[in-house]
Amino acid sequence: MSLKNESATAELKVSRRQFMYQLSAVLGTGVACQLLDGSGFNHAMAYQAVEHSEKIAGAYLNQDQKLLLRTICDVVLPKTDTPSAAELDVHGFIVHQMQACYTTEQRKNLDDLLSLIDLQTKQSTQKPFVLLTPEQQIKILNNLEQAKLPFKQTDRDTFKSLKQLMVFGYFTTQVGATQALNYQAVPGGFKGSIKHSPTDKAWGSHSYY
Amino acid sequence: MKDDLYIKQTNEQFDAIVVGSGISGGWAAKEFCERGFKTLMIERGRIVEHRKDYIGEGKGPWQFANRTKVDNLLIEEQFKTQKLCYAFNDATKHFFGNDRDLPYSTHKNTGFSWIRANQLGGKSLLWHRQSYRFSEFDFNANKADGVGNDWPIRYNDLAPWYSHVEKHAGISGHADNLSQLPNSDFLPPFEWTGPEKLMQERFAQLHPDRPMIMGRAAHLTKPSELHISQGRVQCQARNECQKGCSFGAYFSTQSSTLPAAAKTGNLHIAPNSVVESLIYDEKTNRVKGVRVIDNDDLTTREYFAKVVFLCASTLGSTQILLNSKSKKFPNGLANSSGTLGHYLMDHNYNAGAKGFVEGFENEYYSGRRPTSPYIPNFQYEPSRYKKEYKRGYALSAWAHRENWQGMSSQDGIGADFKQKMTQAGRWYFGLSAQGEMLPRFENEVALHSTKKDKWGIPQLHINCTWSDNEKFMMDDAAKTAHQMLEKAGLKNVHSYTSYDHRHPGIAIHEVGTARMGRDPKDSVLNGFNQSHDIPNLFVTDGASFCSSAVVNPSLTFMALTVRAVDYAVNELKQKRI
Ligand SMILES: Cc1cc2nc3c(=O)[nH]c(=O)nc-3n(C[C@H](O)[C@H](O)[C@H](O)COP(=O)(O)OP(=O)(O)OC[C@H]3O[C@@H](n4cnc5c(N)ncnc54)[C@H](O)[C@@H]3O)c2cc1C
Repeated sequence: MSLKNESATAELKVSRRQFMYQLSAVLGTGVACQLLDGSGFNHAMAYQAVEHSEKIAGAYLNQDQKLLLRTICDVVLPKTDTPSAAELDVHGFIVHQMQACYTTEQRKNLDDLLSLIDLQTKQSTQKPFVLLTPEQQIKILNNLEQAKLPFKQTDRDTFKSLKQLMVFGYFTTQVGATQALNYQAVPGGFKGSIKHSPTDKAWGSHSYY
Repeated sequence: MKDDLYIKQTNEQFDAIVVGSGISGGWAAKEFCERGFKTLMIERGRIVEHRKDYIGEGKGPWQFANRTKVDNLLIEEQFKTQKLCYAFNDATKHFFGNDRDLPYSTHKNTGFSWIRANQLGGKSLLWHRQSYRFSEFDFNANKADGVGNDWPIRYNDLAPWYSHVEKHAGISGHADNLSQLPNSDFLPPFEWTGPEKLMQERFAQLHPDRPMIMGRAAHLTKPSELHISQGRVQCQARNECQKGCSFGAYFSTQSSTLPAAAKTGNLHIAPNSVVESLIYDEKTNRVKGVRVIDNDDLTTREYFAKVVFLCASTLGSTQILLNSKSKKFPNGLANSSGTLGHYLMDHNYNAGAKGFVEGFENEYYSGRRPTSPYIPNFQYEPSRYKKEYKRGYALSAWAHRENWQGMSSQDGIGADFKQKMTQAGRWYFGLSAQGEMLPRFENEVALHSTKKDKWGIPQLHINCTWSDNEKFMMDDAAKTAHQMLEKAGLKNVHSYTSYDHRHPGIAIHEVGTARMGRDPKDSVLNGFNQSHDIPNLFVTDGASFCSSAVVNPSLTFMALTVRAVDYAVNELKQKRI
C-alpha cells in the first residue's frame, strides 16, 4: 500500500471515529451502531436463491430450457475463486426477473434463443448442449456471440441481453456484490484519488439500479 | 415532537397556513414558527417520519424483490410517468406520486412528464441536492433580451436570504468567485478525481470562459454545530440519498426545516389533507382559509388563518388557484391579469457527449460522491449568445471507471470475462447539457374542462412544447460538448440530443405559471411573492418564476420563501394584511 493510500485510510479512520461520535450524540450509541452495520433497517421479501431451481416447474420456460439456461450461466460465468453463476442460482433469478420486469416480446426472444441453441447443437453434434464438453460449449456460445452461421445478428442481440441480465443477476447477489466485488455499504466519505492496482477488485454494486 | 403536532379537525384561526411540506413549505413553516406565529402546514399526502419511514435505506440490491427494479405490472398500472425519472426504483418508489391516483392530461401531440412526490416532505426527499444561486445576469435576462417580463427583483434583493437558508441547510462547494454563479456560504467541497482534475486544467487552457467547478450540493461535508443540533451528521458518500438518509446528511424537510419548526411549539401539521380551493371573502378581499378534502375518506373540512402561503409545488399551487373561482375571479383566484397558468417552463436536459480518458489505471476513488463537476452557463448575457438562439446552458460533468454494468455488453465467455467484470475498467468522462427554457405564453397549464380526479378536483391539462430556441440550443450543446471533449484529448467521443422523445417536465424543474412582475396587468405576484390582487395570499414556490435561468431552482425557492415570510410578518404586524 502506498503512502498516499495509508494517509487516506488513516484520514478515513479519523473521520469515521468523528462520525460515530456525532452520530451517537444525536441518536445514542445503540441506534448509531445499528445504522452503520445495516441491522437497523427492515428487510423486504427478495428473490431467494433455490438449489436446482431448474427442476421446479413454472409459468415461464420448461425444465429442459431451464437446465440449458443453467448450463449457459455456468459457461459464461464459471466457478473461479468465487462461485459460478449457477451456484448462485443466477438462472433461477433470470427466470424470475424475465417474468417480473421484462416484456412478453423479450420473454419470447429468450425462449426462442434457448430453443435455437438446443436445435443447432443437436444438429451439429448429435448431443444436447448440456452434455457437451466445456470446450464445445464455449465454442458454440462464441459463435453465437459473433453471429457466425447458423446464428444471425438478432440471435447475437438476444444473447447479449441475456448476458447483461446474467451479469446483473450475478453481481447483485450478496456474494457477487460483497465477495466478487468490494462492497461499501457506508463508505464513510469520498476520496477522489486512491492508489489502485489493475488486478484489484472494483467497488461493489450500487444500492439501486 | 409534541403529540398534538398532527391535527385533523380544528376551528382555530391560525396566524399562517402553509400549503405543502416540500422544500418551499418546509421553509415557510420554519420561518413563521420561529417568529412566533401559530402555523398550520397542510399536506395532501401521508406522514413520512424521518428515519422510521425510510424503508429502502441501508439494503443491498439482493434484499429487494427484483434487485431494485420495479415490477412491470406495477409500473404499467401505477407509475407510467414516474418511471421516467432516473431516481425511480424499488428502493424509492414509495416516495413518488401514483400516476393512477393523480391523473393529468396533455394536449394532442405534446407531452409533459410531471414527476410528483405527494407526502410529507414532498420532493425534498427525492431531490438531487444541486444548489446554486441565481446571478445578477439571471434576474436581468428577460429585460436584457426582451423575452418574458422583467423580474421585479435583482440579485441583491435575494443575496442575504440565500445566506440565511444556506447556513441552515448546509451547502457544500468551493468559492469560485464567478459573476455568472455567485458563491454561497459554503461547507467544504467534495474532492475531485484525477481525470476530472486533468480535464479541468485542459478546459481552463482551451476555454478560459468555461471554468469547471465542483458541483455545489446540499450535503453536510463538515456539519456545523447548528447542523449537529438539528440531529444531522456528516455525509458518508453513500449516494443513495433518495431512499432517505437517517444521517440527515442532505437537506430535506424532514432532516432540517421540520425539526426546527416543530421545536418552537408553534407548528401543527394537517396530513392527508388535499387542498381543493381557497376560501375567499369578496367583501374584505382576503383569503380566509382553505377547503380540504380528506386524502383517504374524501370527507371535507376547512382551515382558517390570517395569511395563506401556497407552497404546493409549481403546478400544485397553480392548480389550487385555478380551482378557486369567485364572482370577481371567474378564471381563478388572483388572476385578474389572465396570466395564471401561462409561461410554464422546465429545464432542457437533452444533449451531451462522452468519451474515454486514457491512463489513470492506477487511480481510483473511494465512496460514491453525491455531486459532480459543473461548467456554469457561459452564455449568460446577450453579447455571449450564439446566433441561432437566445440564452445558454450549463454542462454537468462526470468521470467514472467503467464497471460490470457498462462492460457486460462486451464480448467474452468464461473465466476471463468473469474476471474482467470484477475489475475497474477504463475511465470515461462526459458532459450533459442543462439548458434554459424560454418563458412563452403558449406553454400553459389549465383545468381540464370535464375530467376530474378521485377527490373531484378538475385535472390539470398541460400544453407545453420545446420551441426552436430550445432545440437549436441542444443541437449546439451536443456539438460544443463533442468538440470540447475531442480537443481535450478524449477517445471514442459520442454525442447525442434527445429532445425529440424527452418531453418537458423530466428535468423536474417546472417553474412559472403564476409569475412575479411589477405590473399587475401582466403578472400574478409582486416582488415579494404576494398576490397583486389579494394582499394576504402568497405563492413562494417555482410558480413565481419569470424565467427559468440555467441553474437548479430549489435554492432560489428557499430564498424567495424566507424573504416573503419576512415581508408578510412585517405586513401582518403593521396590520396591512
Ligand atoms: C429526482 C429529483 C431530482 C431533483 N434534483 C434537484 C436538484 O438537484 N436541485 C434542485 O434545485 N432541484 C431538484 N429537484 C427539484 C426539487 O425537488 C423541487 O424543485 C422542489 O422539491 C420543489 O419544492 P416545492 O416545495 O415547491 O415542491 P415539492 O417539494 O414538490 O412539495 C410540494 C408539496 O405540496 C403538496 N401538495 C401539492 N398539492 C397539494 C394540495 N392541493 N393540497 C395539499 N398539499 C399539496 C405535495 O404533496 C408536496 O408534498 C429534483 C427533483 C427530483 C424528483
